[in-house]
Amino acid sequence: MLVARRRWLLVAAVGALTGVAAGWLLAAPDPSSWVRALSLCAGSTVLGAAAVAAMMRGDRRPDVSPTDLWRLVAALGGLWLSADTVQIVLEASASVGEPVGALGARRLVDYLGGVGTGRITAVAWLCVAACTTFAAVAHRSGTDRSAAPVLVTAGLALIARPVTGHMSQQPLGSLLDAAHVVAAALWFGTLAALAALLRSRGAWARQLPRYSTLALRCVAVVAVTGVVDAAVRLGSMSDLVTTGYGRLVLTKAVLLAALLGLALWWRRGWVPAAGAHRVRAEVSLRNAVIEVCAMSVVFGVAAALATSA
Amino acid sequence: MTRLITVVTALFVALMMSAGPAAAHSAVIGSSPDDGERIAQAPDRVSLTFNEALQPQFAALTVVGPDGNLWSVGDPVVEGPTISVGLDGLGPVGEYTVAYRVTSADGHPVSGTRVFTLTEEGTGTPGAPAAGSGDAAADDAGNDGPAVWWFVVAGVVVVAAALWFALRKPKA
Repeated sequence: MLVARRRWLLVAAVGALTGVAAGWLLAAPDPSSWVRALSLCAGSTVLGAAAVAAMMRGDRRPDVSPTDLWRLVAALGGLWLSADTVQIVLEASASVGEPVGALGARRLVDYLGGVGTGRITAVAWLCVAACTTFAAVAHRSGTDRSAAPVLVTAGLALIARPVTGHMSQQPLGSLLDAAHVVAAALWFGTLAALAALLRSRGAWARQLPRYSTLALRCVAVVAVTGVVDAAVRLGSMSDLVTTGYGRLVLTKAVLLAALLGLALWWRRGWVPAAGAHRVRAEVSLRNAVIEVCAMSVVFGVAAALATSA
Repeated sequence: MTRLITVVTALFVALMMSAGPAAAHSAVIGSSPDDGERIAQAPDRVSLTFNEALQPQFAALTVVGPDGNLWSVGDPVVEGPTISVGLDGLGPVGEYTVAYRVTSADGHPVSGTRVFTLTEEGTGTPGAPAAGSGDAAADDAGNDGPAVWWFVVAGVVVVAAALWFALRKPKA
């Protein structure tokens, strides 16, 4: 049998792009959806890593060293920052109506300073930059630091676009969408961060049951807010099939149901067994990688949904 | 779990029944001249009205005649849900295309075209030939500053280098 490796987590990027590709088959998203999917995955894992740090705070012997934790956050933060930069340029070019290659610096500044959505993306970008810098400094100093600043900045950066997007036109829409995004990010990101950081059977035994509790709450929030959002946005049941937006919503719902099935299966087998130290670290890693890659596909579809009309 | 699914399904059905139609983005609800209208004389302005207030930045509205020339004059004006552009008379008989491009309140750009037909030749003077695409907006290129693309590439390289420096393993 193949031995699971941490770097297989990178397959999640392929999963996310697959999700976007599915989105392109079903609807007509913006070109920025490709970058948005990668940005979402990186950002969620940053938030998840901060959540791991927060969960482990207070443990007498933390399972993850601060050095490893902050290296992961800073590296992913850099990836996120790069993806976000490209995304801003793509969005600006779509808004201004000029091809990406010809977009001038002055027009970009106009977009970032003048248009409502441009300002929000600029704020999100600054949050990502702050979060990455904080993590890099924390890594260099090598001391144990509170992850709260990362939780706050990463959370804000993640919800910035959704709260000003589609749902902002409905009453309470922004609030529901913010909850949806943060819950989905924690569900995906925390497991991805655990897979990237945990090394031993004992570490999985302590952290996985904690994650499982968190994940259950996140799934409930994701499902409820997602359904409310979809019902508010779509006029009728037939819109689920006749409009591109509806088809993407339907795809997300079906994939979510599949993920729920997988999660339920893990909760019956893997989680109690790992909690009782009966699962080897490699097997836990393999299970986590499978789950993360499966979730990344839904993130791709979500990115396509958020950028299609 | 079953209870959760039941609750979610019930919620969905209830909301489907109660929620009214929700417009996704800015959509044209009317225009002057109307889409497909036949007119004998050029109006002073061509205007489009949307279902919601528009963002004034980067809005574009052009009128291109059957001769392929631009017949709209000056920059479009956005007032609440209405965008309009001036005309200085129209020329040849035939179909005129009104091309628009605006930003919805949720940030998504929306573009499209409407047409009207001139039935009696006018005496206006045409503008420049419209370049290929419908949304040949303000063509003041060269005034936009250097292309952003290079800054993005440079920025990504700087971020990568800085992180590599910050995260490298200490030489032990």
